[in-house]
Amino acid sequence: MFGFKIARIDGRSMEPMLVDGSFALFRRRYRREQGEVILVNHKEFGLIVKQVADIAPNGEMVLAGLSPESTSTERLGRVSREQVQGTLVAPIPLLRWRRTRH
Amino acid sequence: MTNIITKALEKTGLFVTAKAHCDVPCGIYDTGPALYHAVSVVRLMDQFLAADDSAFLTKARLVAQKEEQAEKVKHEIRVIWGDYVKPPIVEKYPNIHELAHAIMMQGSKCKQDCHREDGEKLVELVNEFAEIFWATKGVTTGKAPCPYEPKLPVVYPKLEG
Repeated sequence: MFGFKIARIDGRSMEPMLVDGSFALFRRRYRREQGEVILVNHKEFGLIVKQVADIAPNGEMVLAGLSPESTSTERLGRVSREQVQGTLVAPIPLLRWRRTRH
Repeated sequence: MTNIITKALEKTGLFVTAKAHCDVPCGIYDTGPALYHAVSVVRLMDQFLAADDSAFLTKARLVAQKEEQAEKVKHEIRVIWGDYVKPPIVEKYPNIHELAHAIMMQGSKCKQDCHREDGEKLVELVNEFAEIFWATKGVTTGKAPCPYEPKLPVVYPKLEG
């Protein structure tokens, strides 16, 4: 809708930038750049949010979480441009959903 | 209820849930084990100091246990400090790094020798760490003697069902 998406963050791997249970605004347009925080349709994990740690020569992206607890870069593998669903615009402050699990 | 609202919003396509995965069931931290091990150090010191010199096997065992317990204190605090403590916490409690380091040093001191005051100091420092830890979770704490020897004052969270 209007090229934007609101995502509820479920998990702690992007803390302190994106807190578990908080919301963040993503835009659909994607800029392939190291350091961008992106929404990815991951083959194994479903819709996830991670940071682009590196870009491989073939254009695939290497992902990483911000927290040391995050699933490792090795396990996340590389993702292609087609799997990207959005790029972080900004965390939405104040809004916080009740934590549901973990 | 929250799930129903979430699902309804997800149908609009504007709203999604994004997983920020961790490797293990994370977010489970507690200073309880660190305090348990710190108090054990003092208890083992007491037993060591009270034991007769002729009971050298018992003494050897007590001293080995004391060192193991001190190492466990260091491990527990390191995990909380390394994985749980993040910039917003450091901002609010700027002495947290110094405190974690002091616990490392005090833990080693307890391993090196058998002075009860070193053990007491270790408990004191871990108490301080526990107070900060629970404060970051918005949980109030109280201090009460542990209900077993050496009955030293220990920080407990005031949890409500």
